[in-house]
Parts: sequence; structure tokens; C-alpha cells
Amino acid sequence: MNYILKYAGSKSPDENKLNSILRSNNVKIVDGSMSPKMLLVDLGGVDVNKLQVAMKGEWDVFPEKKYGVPDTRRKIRK
Amino acid sequence: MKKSQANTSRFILLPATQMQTTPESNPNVENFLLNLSSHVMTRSAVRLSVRKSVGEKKKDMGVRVVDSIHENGAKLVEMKEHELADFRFSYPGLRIIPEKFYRRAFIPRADVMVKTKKASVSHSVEVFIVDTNGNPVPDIDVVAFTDFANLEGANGRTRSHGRVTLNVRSKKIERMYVYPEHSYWGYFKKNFQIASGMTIKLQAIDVKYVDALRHFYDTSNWSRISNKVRVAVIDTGVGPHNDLQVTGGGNMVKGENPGDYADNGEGHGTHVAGIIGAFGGVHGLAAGVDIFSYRIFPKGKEASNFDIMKAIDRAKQDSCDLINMSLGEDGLDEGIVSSIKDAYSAGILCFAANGNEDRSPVNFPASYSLSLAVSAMGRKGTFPAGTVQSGIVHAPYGSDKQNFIADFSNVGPETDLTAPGVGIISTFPNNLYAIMDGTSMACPAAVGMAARILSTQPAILNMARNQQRADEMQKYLSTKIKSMGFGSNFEGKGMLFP
Repeated sequence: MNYILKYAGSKSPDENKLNSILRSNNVKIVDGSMSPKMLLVDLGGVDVNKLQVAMKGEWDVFPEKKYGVPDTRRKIRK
Repeated sequence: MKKSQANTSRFILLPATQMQTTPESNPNVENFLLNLSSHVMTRSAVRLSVRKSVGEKKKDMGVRVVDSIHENGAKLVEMKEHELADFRFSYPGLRIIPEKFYRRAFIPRADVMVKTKKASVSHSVEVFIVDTNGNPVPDIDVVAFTDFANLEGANGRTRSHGRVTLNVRSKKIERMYVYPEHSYWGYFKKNFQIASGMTIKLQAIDVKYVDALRHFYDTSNWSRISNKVRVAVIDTGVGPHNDLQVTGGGNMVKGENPGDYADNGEGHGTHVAGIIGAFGGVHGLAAGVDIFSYRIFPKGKEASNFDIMKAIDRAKQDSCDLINMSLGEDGLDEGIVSSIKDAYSAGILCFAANGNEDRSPVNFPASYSLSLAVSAMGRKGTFPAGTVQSGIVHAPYGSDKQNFIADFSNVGPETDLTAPGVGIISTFPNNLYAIMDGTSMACPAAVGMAARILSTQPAILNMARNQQRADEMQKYLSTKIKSMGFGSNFEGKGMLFP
């Protein structure tokens, strides 16, 4: 499952420290285009609580969620 | 007074970002919370003045302060549900969270799985879709319900010769909807016997037609806005269309060209942007506005909240003033909550669509108290007879009985505003025009009107980009809202007028 990591600290995030935590937990970066403030990562089998503990509260962790294009068309139940 | 209007509920009031006010907070918010602290557990309610809307008499509301965490922090208050929208517009910059009670966790019993019977097909009928000149129209979606309550029936899309075959269980059709993607009005018919060879003529869109949006807002006679206002459209992308100028933006979808923020082909974002700022064949509400397009929907797929968060962040970097989010789902999304808080702290107002699930609770992010939630209304006589829109008319009707809240619109106490969202003519990619319905259309109608109103207020627009700026924008807008007589659950405080 994918999770969003968003930096919650007031100073600049320590990118090396973050990368080291992600590497040691085998967490894959799915989208690093907003790095170092925000990343989308694939936790694979890693426990999200374990990752949060490793990041010592410096990063907020949110599950990825999907949104559809809104539509008012009436549809047949398949 | 309606019974529902007398309901009192408890809410938690919080500053925009933290549990207590911070140096970034608007001093007015801090003073407000400090004032409420002195009323904790007094039996009588604190009388708070309500910001007046157009034509409204001076009024106030009662709020009882039940508890407090820090003098400059969270307050538990009691107030009447129907006064929530008044409160939000009078005291912006506060998060308002309904008090919630939690039970001990337990393992629920497994739901019983009910298998739906597959409808047996006994009739195959062909439907022919043509334009008013009798030419066949391909690629039109046709949906025929034999049992609307159970959503049973058949659907199909016309082929190149304008024909579609529907396999239905019964020839008695409860409802038939015909949905063109663009260029034509749709078609709607109730309770009839279908016969093979049925021919349906679609009416082409006339851009001069007075739809619900132009009934309330005479956009073709409005000048371009005088001061720069930047509006972010977080959607399927915008354009190309000759009526639209897109100032900037970005594509947030991973794997797509980051510089391609044109529409992905679905047209939703282009329609939304046209309602806000088109100028040409059709006129939006705030022609002259700077539109920033942030594409988050891959074609035919859902958008990730990560991409929505990226888009909000980019809108902040691009100094947008208003954000339009014609999207939503049920449930809270803490990721997007954090981004909306960031935007509010940067002086940006976020508007979001209530959602289109037939009177269901207001979707997120509209339901979040720092965003402005918009329901969809319509008006009889602003769409041709026999079109899809005639099936959308539903109570409640307003003080003007021609006005109604669209049958699909989600409603609830989180609603802040209503706006036209039934049978709206706007832009579609590649210089086409389309009719769309939805709170997706109502949301940009509110955003466009807000942009036009705020463009007359350079003193507010030139404020430092912080929570106070967002508060002041919201307060000023509240003076331009008129109740349409639907009741606060359906319209919040009402509709914006110039």
C-alpha cells in the first residue's frame, strides 16, 4: 500500500536521514517529485507504525486515497 | 420554524492549524477564543453578532461554551445546526468539528452477502439517435431503466450510424436517459413502452441560450474583472479552447508530461474553468481571471490524494487566491486536510463540491470546515423540455418556486453556499461546448462569483498572505450572499451575488 510522507518540522528536512530510514526499512519511493517536503512511498510489507516510530514524529504519514471524476449520470447496476 | 432548524449540537472550535493559536494565527481568532473562555459553563449562551448578507436584518446567534482546552485553544460549544453557515461566515479561520463519541472496539458480525438476481433478457430493441436535421449521432450513451429503484435495465453507446441495441427484460421503460458528451442537450423520458426503431432527436447547444447560470448572472453583459485574481482549477486539466486563457499550472500525474496541463480529454476541468473564466462564445462569471490548471486525473482513472496535495502546494507557490476542487469522496482524508490548512494559512480559500450522491452527506473535502462547501441548485425553464435536466427537478423549492435543489446534490449542515449546477453550458476541449450537471458545476459558479466580488477589493487582495487574509476574504464574501429560501442544510448561507 502507498503512503504519503509530509514533513511536519519547522526546519528543513534532513534528506539523508530520511533516505537512510527508508532504505533500512525497504521502503520504495513511488513519487519523489515533491521531495524533500513530501513523498509518495510504497511500504510493501512494512508496518506503518514502525516507520512512524523510526521517523520520530518529524513526518506526518497519510494513506494514499483515490478520487473519481464526479458524475451525475444514472448507471445500471452491473 | 422547521423542526430540524431547532436542533442544537455540540461542536469543537479549533484555530486553523493547531490546538492553540500560534504567532501565525489571525489575532481576531485569538481574541474570539479568549472571549469564549470567560463563558465556560455559564448557563446562558453567549450572544454573537452575525455578519449581515444582502437585504438581511441585523441578527445575532447564541452559542453556549461547554468546555475549553487552554484559553487560546479548543472550545467545545453548543449551537443550533441551522446557524452553522452563519457562524462560519461570521467567524472564519476556525475549524469546526462535530463532537463525536467512540465506542469500544469490537468485532462486528459478518454482513450477510445477498446475491442479486441477474435480470433475464427477453427483448432486444434498437434506438436511433439523430440531430434535428436527421443526421445520425455516434458515441452517445443511452441508459434505459426497467426498474429504476433497483437500477436494473440496459445501456449502450451509439455506433457510427447512430444506432444502439438495448437488451431489456421488459419493454416498459421507467426512465430513459440519453447522455451526449458535448454539442447537444441530453434526453429524458419516463414511463413508456419502448419499440425497436425508436428515434430520438437531440437538440444542438445554442451558446446564447439562457441556462440556470445566466438566468441568475447576466455574464454576457459583464465586463472583465478589473484586478488580478488567480484561481486554481484542480481537475482533469483545462483546454484547449478559444474562450479560455490558461495562465499557468502543471500536471501532477506521475508518468505524464509535467508541462501538459491541458484537459486529458474528459472535459470536466475545461467545463469547470469555463464557468469561472470563459470569454468568447460563452462568458464565465469572472472573465479576465488568471486560471491555473493543475491536472490530477489520469484519463479514465481516479486521482490520488498525493497528486491533489501536490496541486494545492503548487497553487500556493503560484500565489493563487482561490482553489476550485470539483471532486470529493466520503470519509475524512487527513493528507488533504493538512494541505487545505496550509493553503488557508497562506491566505487562500478552498471551495469544494458537496457531491452528487442523491442527498447523501456532504463529501470530503467540502465537509472540512476550512473549505467552502457548495450544493447545486437549478431553475425550471432554464433547460428545454424533455432533456435530462427535467429529471433532476426535486424539492425543496426556494422562496421563488421555480428554483430547486438538484435531486443529485448532497446536503447537510456543512453546506456553506449553493449555486447553479443544473444544465450549465460551458466550454469543452477543442472549441466545443457541453451541457453538464453537478455540484462540480455549482462549485466553480461560486468560485467565479467569489473571484468577481473579491476583484473589487484590492485592499483585501493586497494583504499579507496569511490566515487573516483568508478570513477577510471569507468575511467580505459573506456580505454578498443572499438566502434563496431552501433552508441551511440545502443552501448554507445562500448564493453569492455581485
